[in-house]
Amino acid sequence: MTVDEDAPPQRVAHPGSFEAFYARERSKVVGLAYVLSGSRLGAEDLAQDAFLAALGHWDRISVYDDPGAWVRRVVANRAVSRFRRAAAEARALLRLGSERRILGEIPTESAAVWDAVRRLPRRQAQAVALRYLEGWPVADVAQILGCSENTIKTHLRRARRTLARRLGEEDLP
Amino acid sequence: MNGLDERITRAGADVHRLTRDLPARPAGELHRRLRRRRRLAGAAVVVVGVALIGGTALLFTGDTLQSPAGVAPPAPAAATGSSPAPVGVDDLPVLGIDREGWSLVNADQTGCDTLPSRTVEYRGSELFALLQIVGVPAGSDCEQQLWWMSETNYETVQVRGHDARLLPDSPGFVVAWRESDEAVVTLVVQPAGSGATLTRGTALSVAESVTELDPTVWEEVVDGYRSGRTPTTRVPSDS
Repeated sequence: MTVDEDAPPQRVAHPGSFEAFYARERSKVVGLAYVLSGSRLGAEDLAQDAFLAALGHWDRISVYDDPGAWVRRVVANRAVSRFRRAAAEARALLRLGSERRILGEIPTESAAVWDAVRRLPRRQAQAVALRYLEGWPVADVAQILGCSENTIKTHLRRARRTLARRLGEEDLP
Repeated sequence: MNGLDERITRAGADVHRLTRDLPARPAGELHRRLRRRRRLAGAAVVVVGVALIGGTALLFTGDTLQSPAGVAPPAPAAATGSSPAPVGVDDLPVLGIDREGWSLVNADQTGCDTLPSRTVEYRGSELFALLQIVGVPAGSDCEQQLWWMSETNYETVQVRGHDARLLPDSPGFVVAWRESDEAVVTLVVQPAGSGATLTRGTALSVAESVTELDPTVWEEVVDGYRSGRTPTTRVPSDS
């Protein structure tokens, strides 16, 4: 029997542990990374990088009211960064010795919606993804992105106007 | 709920379905990456500390003034390739992108989890490129696994005289090829402007422009970047 010295000790994840947090949030954070980056190849690695950053500061982050907000702030910033996104894609491409991981495809109509979101200005795209993909209240979106609530409301209003025009939909007030 | 809300809601539901089906990736993998990263950081601190102590000692003993004339100083590590490992980082080809207007914005030698690698990021006025060179022995299992792209939507092309695979991934392209018996090169090419488009011809043109850099230039550019002396622009941290 071989022993992997790097392997963490086996333990049952308790509600406040990183393991429980990761299991609870992972798929949602990957989704956020996907809609903001548009990369089926690199989305999971973008999310993994954000969780890795959280793990490195877990003593501090775990006492926050919502550690998930911290991770989302990191992933929202990294996913819209061309450099971070490309690095995640390259890592995904080069990940060796593990199973293939690439997100499947979503219907064309839905893909068009997120493509239109990604063409919005950076802050507007982040606000839309957090508000409408994840359903965060405006106050929480403001906290995650480090803006005031009024700023987020303005971003969302402008984003909706642009999206309605680009997607050929009517946006009722 | 109006038409826009309905479309966004449907689009969100599709994404949730997609990520819910993603196979679980254990948290232990993150623990391992964090430990490896901390070990590397610790090693870097030790190396810098030894270098500082050594340099200080040399200054005090005056050894630096006693080198015999005409004897060249030791070559830099990147140029000598002195690693005893079969495929060490120093054994990898030193590559750059030979196109006017590009600037180096980042460099890293520890980008790949287990294999020696160099990662270099370039930014041009209209394009962005991330070049990664990974030491993968020819014929190894790792090489076979590297070509997992074979099951995705790829196109077989020729780059620099080598068989390569071109993988379109919106909004850019990934090109991968084997540059030598020890090194596989991947290049991510993306447009620099938001919403801009990129053609496969342009991606291939950039891949063809990859060239060997003179070791001296590498020393000046990459090591200069690390020590903060480079004139190129550093990408601001966004997290």
